[in-house]
Formats: sequence, C-alpha cells, structure tokens
Amino acid sequence: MDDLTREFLIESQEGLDRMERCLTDLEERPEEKDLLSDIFRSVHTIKGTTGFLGFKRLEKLAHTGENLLGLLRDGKLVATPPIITGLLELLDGLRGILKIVEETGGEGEDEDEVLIEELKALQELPGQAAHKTAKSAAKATKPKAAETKTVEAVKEEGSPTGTAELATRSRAQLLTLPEATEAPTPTKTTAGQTLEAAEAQKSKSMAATDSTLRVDVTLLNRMMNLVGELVLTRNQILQATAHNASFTLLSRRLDMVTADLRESVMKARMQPVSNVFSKFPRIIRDLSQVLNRKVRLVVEGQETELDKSLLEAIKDPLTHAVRNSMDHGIEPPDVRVAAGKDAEGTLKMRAYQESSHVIIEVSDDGAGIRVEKVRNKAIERGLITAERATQLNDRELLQLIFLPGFSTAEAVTNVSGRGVGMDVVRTNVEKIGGKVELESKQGKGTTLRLRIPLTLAIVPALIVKSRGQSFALPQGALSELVHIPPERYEQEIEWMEGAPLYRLRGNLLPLVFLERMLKQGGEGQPGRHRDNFIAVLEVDGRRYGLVVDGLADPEEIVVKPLSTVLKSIGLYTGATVLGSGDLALILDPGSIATRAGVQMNLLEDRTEQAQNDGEGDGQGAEYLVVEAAARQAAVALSDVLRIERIPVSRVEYVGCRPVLNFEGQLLPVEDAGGILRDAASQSDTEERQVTVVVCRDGNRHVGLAVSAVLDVSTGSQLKEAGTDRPADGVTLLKDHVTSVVSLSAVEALPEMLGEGWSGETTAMVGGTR
Amino acid sequence: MNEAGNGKKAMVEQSGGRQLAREKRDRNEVLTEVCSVRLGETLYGIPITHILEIVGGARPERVPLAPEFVGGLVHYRGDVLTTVTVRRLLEMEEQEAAQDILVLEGAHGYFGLLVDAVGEVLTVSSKDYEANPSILEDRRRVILAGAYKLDGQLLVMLDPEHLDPIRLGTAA
Repeated sequence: MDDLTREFLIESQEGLDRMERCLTDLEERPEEKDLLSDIFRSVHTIKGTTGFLGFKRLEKLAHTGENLLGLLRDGKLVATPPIITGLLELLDGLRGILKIVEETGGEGEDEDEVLIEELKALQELPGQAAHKTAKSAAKATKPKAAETKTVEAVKEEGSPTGTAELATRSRAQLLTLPEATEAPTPTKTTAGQTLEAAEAQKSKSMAATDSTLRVDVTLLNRMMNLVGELVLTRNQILQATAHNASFTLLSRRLDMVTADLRESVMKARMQPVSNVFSKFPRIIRDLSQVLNRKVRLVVEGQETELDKSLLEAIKDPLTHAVRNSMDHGIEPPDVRVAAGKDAEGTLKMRAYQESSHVIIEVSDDGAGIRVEKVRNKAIERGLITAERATQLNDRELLQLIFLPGFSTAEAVTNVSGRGVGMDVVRTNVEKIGGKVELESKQGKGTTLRLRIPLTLAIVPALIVKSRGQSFALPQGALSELVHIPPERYEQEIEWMEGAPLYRLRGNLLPLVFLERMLKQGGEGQPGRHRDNFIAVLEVDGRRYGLVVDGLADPEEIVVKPLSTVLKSIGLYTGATVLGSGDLALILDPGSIATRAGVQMNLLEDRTEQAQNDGEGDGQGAEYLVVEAAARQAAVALSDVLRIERIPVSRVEYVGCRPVLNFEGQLLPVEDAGGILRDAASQSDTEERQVTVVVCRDGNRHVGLAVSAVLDVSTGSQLKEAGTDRPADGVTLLKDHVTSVVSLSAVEALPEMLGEGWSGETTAMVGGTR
Repeated sequence: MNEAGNGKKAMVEQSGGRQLAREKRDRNEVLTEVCSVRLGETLYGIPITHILEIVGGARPERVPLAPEFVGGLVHYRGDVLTTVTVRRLLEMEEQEAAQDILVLEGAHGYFGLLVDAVGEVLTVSSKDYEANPSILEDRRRVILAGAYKLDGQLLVMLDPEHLDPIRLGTAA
C-alpha cells in the first residue's frame, strides 16, 4: 500500500468517526447546520479523494450519500430518524469498504446497490412536507440574530480545511433560510446555549489541530522503553552514589529529570477516554431500537486520559457492560412508567482518575439485579449448590454473575443472554491488571465499576526468590503472604495424596511449589529445611498459594517483552530488570494456576471473599490482633493494607504528631500505646525497629504503632445484654472480649499537610527515600 | 537499536568495499571477514556482516522450562535478549564462567549467541572453503556452514540463520 492510500485511510477513518458523533448529535438537533456541514464535509472529502485514487466503488457510494447530505444541508430535507438510520448505514458501508481497502489494497467486488437505492429513496422522501413543518415550527419561534452570527463567525474562522467557497455558501444559506438554524423546540434559549457551547468547544479543538502532530505508536513504545531504561540506570546510580555527598545534588537532579521525562512520555501515550466513549451513542441508539428501550446517555469525565493500549483493551468490556445495562438493567418504557419512573432510562458513563487508577463507571437507573433470581439461576446452572447458596449474603450472590456460563436472561437474544459477558468483562479487565466492582440496588439501578491502572508498562510487583533466582509476581493478584519457618513446615503443610495444602484460617488452600513447577531442582519434596513463603494469589476467581523460598522488596517494574520461544513456555508474561541490575522473569499467576490444575473452588473462595468483604456487618469478620502497651486490640482485617517494620528514626514529627513518609504519602501515625515515645527515648535509637500497621480509613491511610502483631482471627459480634443491640467497638476473639481500634478516631493531619502532600514535597519532609 | 542497525550497515559497506578491492587482484578469489570464536578447543567463525555487537563477560539469567538450546536472558540496550547456547547445540558441557555474546539479527528480532570467547576478525578466502562433509551428523549439519582451511586448523563456520531461536524452536 502506498503512503497516499494509507494517509487517505487514516483521514477517512477520522472523518467517519467524526461523522458518527455528529449523526447521533444530529438526532437530537436535526436542523443544526453545522452538524450537517460537518457530516457533508467528511463524505465529500472521501468522495473527492477516492476519485483521485481510483476507488470507483467507494466513490459511487460516497457520491450517493453526498447527494442526500446536500439536500439536508440545503434545508430541502429534514433529518428524520429514517434518514439518520440511512446515513448510519452509509457510514457502515463506507467503513466496510475502507476496511477491505486496508486489508487487500483493493475495494472488493461486492455491490452496494441495495444501500444506494435506499439512499436514493430517502432523497425522494416527501421533502416538501417535512420542510414545511420545519418552517412552520421555526416560524413560531423567531431566531435571534445574535445566534446566527455566532454560527457564522465560527464558520469563517474555525474551518481552515473548508474552502472559502463553502463558508460563503453556508453564509448564503444562513441568510436565505435563517429559520432552519433554530431547532424547533419550545425550550429555545437552552437549545441556543448548547449550540453556543458546542461552537466554542469546536473552535477550541480546531485550534488544537494546529499544534499537534501524528506520531507512530512504535516510536512512542520505543521511547517508553528507553525511559524505562533510564529509570533503571537512575536507580542504580542512586544506589551507587548514596554514600557520596558530592554526588547527592547531581543524582537528585537526575532523579527529578528522569521522573519528569517518564511522566511526559507516559502522557504522550495517553488518549482521552472520549475516544472510546464516542462509540456509545451509536451503540445505544441501535440497541434502544432493537430492544425497544428509551435511553438517555450521560457521559462524564470524557477528558480523563488513559494509555492507548489500555483504552483498546477496555473497549470490549465496556460494550458488554453497556449491552447488559440496556438489556437487563433498563426496563421497557411501560414497565418504567408503571414503576413510577421516567419512561426514559438514564445510562451514565463516568470516568475519573483516582491516584494511580482510572475508574470507569457504567451505571443505569434500571431495575437492578434481583438477587434471588441470580441465586436461582446459579443453582439451576449448577454453578453453586443450593445448600451453599443459602449461606451467601446478597453481596456475595451478586458476585456470582461473574462466573463463566452465567446468564439471567429468560431468552437468548442477539444482544445478550448467551452466558458470555460478565466473565469476559472480568477476565479482560484483570488481564490488564484492573479490577471490576459491581453494585446494584433492586429497583434503583446497577453500577459497574472498572478500575484500570494508568499504564501497563510499569507494574508494581513483589520480587520472590526460588532457588536463588528472582521472579516478579504482579501485586494485583497477590492477596497476602504467609511465612512458614522450617521447624513448622511438617505441621503446617498438609498432604492429601501428594497434593500439598495449607490451612489458611480454617480453609484448605491448594499449594503450588514454584520450584517444582519450574523444575528447578531435583524430584522429591522441596524445601523441608528452609524458610518457605506462601504467596496467596487470586486470579479469575481461583485462589491458591504459591510457595517460594525467599521474598525481596516490592518494586515498580518495567515490563519487557520476551522472545516468541520463551513466551511459548506460557508461564511468563515478560521479564524485567531489577534495581540491582539483575534480570527477573515475570510470572503469570493465571497460567500457573491453570498448569497446576487449580480449579475455581467456589465454596472456599466465597467464604474467604465473604470475610474479606465483610464491611462492618461484624458477623464472622476477621481481625488482626495486635498488642500495644501490653494490651490486646483488634483491627478489622479488611482495613489493613500492610504491616511495616521500620527503624524508629524514620518516624518524623509534624508538631507533636508522629508521621511517616510512606510511599511518597504522608501517613499520620497513631501512637496510643506510647510505643514510639518509648522507642525514641532509648539510647540505641538508630537500631530500634517499630511495627506500624498501615490501615485504610475511607479515603485516607493511617498508621498504628504497635509493639507486636499477634494473630488473625475471626471475631463474633457481641450484643449488649438485655438490649439485643450490637455493641460497638468490641468483638469476641477467641472467647476474649477485645476492643476494636476505631480508625476514624485517628486525628487527621492539620489541613495544610493533608492529602495534597505527595511527590516532590516528600523530599523536603522525609529525605529518607 | 537504531544505532546498532546503522553500525551494521557501515560494517557491511566497509567489508563490501574491501572485498571489491581485493577481487581485482584475483578474479576467482572472494575474501570474507569472519569473526572467530572459541568454544572448547575448536575455532568457529561467523561472517561479521551478521554481527551487530559483541557483549563481553555476560552471565545470562537462566529461564526455567525453556528449550535446551536457550542459554538464558541478558539485558541488552533496554531489551531483554534471548541467547542461544552454542555449547549445548554442539553437545558440549555447559560452562560456568562468564561468556561472550554475539548479538545477531534474526528474522523476528535480535538474539544472542553464547560462546566461550570472541577472538580476532580473520579475513578468509573462498579458495580455502569447503562445504560440510557428508559424514557430519544431521543435528550439527544444520547449524554449520562448511569450514575454511587455515594453517594448522579448521575454522568451522556457524550458520547464523539456523541459529535463530525461532528456527531452533520449530525444529525441536
């Protein structure tokens, strides 16, 4: 394919994308001149260039479309729903041919007679009548001259691509047919305002085109790669110069420049989510016709940016989610009215950034998910036993819809109901290191939340060791770590016909020995006489423990692809260079589970899930038992993020409040037992270590200084005698009443030192990174 | 990687030029520049036109479960390079000491060739060339490309194209 054709393809596709957006807008504002001109221009450009490149088929189709659009633009026809449907078909037709051109270089042999006839038929529609109604409607509300002027002005300065002729022509139209510029709606002022807003936005985007340029994605990938390399080199330099004072300034500067550079290159790969969101008005339009639903789409946070490859990856999951909302969520109009709701349903797509993740929500105000229906279906399909189902709470039952093969649809439609869907959504999102959350209120609606990491290239990982070799384990799959000292090996690891198991809080967890899986050592039972660590992993609803013989620090790793030969081993997703300069292979927890034959064990899995999710319902919730100042206290396990052993010297003070510089964030530390005070007053402060339990309290993180972490155990809710009221702040752990630490009681830092403190400022506060 | 590509081109031109100059002297003689490598007692050769770079003293990271011919991974210019161990292919004992790596360009990207040590660049003449002898085992025949008769020893030529891990992977 020559450059000219490639250029043509890219431009045409952009034109058609714009046309698609305009068409869905046009449906709401059928007489907006500007939209029509825009659409006309897209098709006109394609027609012009195809003639030049000699694509006869494309030219013929585009020509027919142009004729129809010409009539619309000249106000001889009004964009009725059938016409818009026809234009969307034209769009699909053009896209189809472009695809063939892209794949084969030719435009294929098929004929577009049917479509062309259809488009011609639309031109002969009683245009007269439609025109008249439009006119009469417009007459009722006389247009404001000012508005017409805005349209005109923007047209002149804002369309550098359009010819002067076009501009004058459209002005002529505006003069002869000023009525047509007004939407025939009674809410005239609001229509006018949105029009103006749209115009303003457009002129802004036009200006943007002058200062942007197209860059090959492979070049960006290469740059990202090199920046990753620079980050590694920087890490090594920082390590090497840590003890040399004269280098400190230089290396700190290198550190900053590298961080900035990394951020800029990452930004270059970012695209606004509107690139994906813009497909949905069309999908929703088509679906609402097929499904007989009335749906209004509300989009928020379109400008939120996400790495290009991730954006591609969430396209399908989002489409699934939207289909589900349309089919199962939003009810048909009559049902909605009967339920006292607006006949028109609302589908909301919202994107926003939350620290290092982008959250994308798809929510509807439909019927919600009926939990009992989910339960019955799951039992009927044999995904869960009836007995087991009775033990699950609503929240857990809701999770069942993520199982493969699950569908509550009464009948299989071509929209959804084939039982593939939610599990695909979850698998795809987890594949890129994201998470899926679901919330549903019966009768009120459903919200699906996708939590996507900002970038794929840099992943937080735990470095584990097996037989002296380092491997990286993505943190996303990791839920906890268990240490088994050699003397406890015999008791803790149980065997069932050769299958190793570990009793994790009463449930049997299948174990996979990494060393065995990788055939690193000889045969026989591994690791009897050394320390073992179980990394409890959770992937695709499967849960297992990966046994390794060593742990190193967590690191942010830069993923490097492997050659085909090594990729085909199937257990590694890539390799990375560690801060020490060593190479480490990145393990794929999903493939390891599959290779080891770990099945989805619903019974076990769900109990764990129940306890982890047990937010505040107290029943059977799990607690971390800690000791502070010779007293035992409990912290809800679901709130615990991690446990740190740190030297006392790392704790710093803001006023008299102890704080910790934790991963670049300032963490208020609660020192109820006076442990920090005691430790700091000792003479050998340098060596002194303290334990800090890092917890989540709503959106903030707090640390608790404790003298020891004792155990994890299940607590039961106590009731106050006589009142039958659950007692707050205490729980029954191993038959002892234990007080539960109230995290919200931990005082927030003074306002000026609050959440915003991160990044550069930490260098000033901490200096101990 | 671009730099390396350019370097290679420069090398090609250079050696091409020299070939031309010497060809004038003797029409029947074609001179080739060969990078000599040592593996055990034998001297092997690879045409320098195939070599992008030589990395010395590397200790590749092992890859558990990888095919036998894979010598491990090394960090090379921001990428992770798969290396092929020539020792294993020639059924020699694996060596513990650091090895040299020849970086070659294969059909689907770069790969490395692990050898004991890289020697000097020799200029050999087509006059001294002989194809693979017929008594060679099949397994070795595929990766060898004849030999040059030097004074007192043979320079056994390795065939870079057949050493590409992708080819070795499909053959295995």
